Amino acid sequence: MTGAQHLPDELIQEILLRLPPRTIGRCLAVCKAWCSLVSAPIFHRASADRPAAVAKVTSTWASFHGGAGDGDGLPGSFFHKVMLFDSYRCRWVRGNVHKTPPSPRGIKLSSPRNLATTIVGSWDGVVCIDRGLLPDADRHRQYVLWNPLTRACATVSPPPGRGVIIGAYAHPATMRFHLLHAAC
Amino acid sequence: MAAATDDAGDSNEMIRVVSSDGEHFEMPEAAANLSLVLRHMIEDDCADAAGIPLAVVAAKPLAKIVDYCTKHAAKSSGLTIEEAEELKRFDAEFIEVDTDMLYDLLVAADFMGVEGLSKLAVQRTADLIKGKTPEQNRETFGIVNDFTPEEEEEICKENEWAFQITKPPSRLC
Repeated sequence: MTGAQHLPDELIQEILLRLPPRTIGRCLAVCKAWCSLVSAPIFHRASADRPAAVAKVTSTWASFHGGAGDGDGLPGSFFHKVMLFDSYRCRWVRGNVHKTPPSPRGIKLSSPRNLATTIVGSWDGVVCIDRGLLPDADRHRQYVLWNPLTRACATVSPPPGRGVIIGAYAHPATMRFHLLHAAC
Repeated sequence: MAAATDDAGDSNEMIRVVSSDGEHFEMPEAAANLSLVLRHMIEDDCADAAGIPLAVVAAKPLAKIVDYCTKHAAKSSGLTIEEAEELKRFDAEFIEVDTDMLYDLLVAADFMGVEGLSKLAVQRTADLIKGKTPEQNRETFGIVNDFTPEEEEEICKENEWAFQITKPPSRLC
């Protein structure tokens, strides 16, 4: 026995699951074996099962920055959306996770002025972001699904017609992520 | 042990186990029962004077495991708060081992199905990884970096958030 590389995959996975998201993110860069373990769907699912999901959007902000020299007179030439993650109320926190105060961290989404970005919500560790191309955001809409922990990202288009996302889930058996879209 | 009840009538019996390198160990049956593998062997009447052979567990980790099981079996039920605290302290000291022993314990506890020890070793390993850079982790765990410099840079770039220094969330408010 000379190193952690000789440990069975299940054991390494057990160990990595007990780490905070930031450390898990760094573990991707340790070696190929750890990287593929952390990137495996089963790992996403297991981390999302934690008492507080790794990527749960707790609140969002929007802020406008004054148009820096673009001369078109619009007050908000750059649009920043900030989403806050409750990333630390997880099972490595000693004590009652539901009573531990949230300790959020933020991620800034910058978008050019012709793109409306809204955070739809987060389910099972996956964040859903709505991107509409202005001026007709309803007709040029895409949903970006993103797992902040593992950087996995996918873009999907809504079915034709108007509608809204009413929920989403990761299927426990197939691991596929499903968006629930309701026409209105 | 003087207050042994009917169903625990033979729990004073000593169970013998043999390590992969041929060393013999003894522990009370109650201690052996903490290992799923040993419990099944005992139930199947495989525990004889020659000892249960454990083909993948060497003497060094086995001695530790026998220690762990004996301690935990002696204090398994009706713990007072002080006894629970003492057991916690025992665990904390018990797992203060070098990484080689830690791997041996991880593998052996997993193989023998000693749940409490498995959890203890897994948590200890996670604690060693926590807050370290990839390079520090490779060093601690003797892992060879099999990424090309380009691949590594790519991963660090894609996961920038994990490599940044934590800033207090109040900055956003």
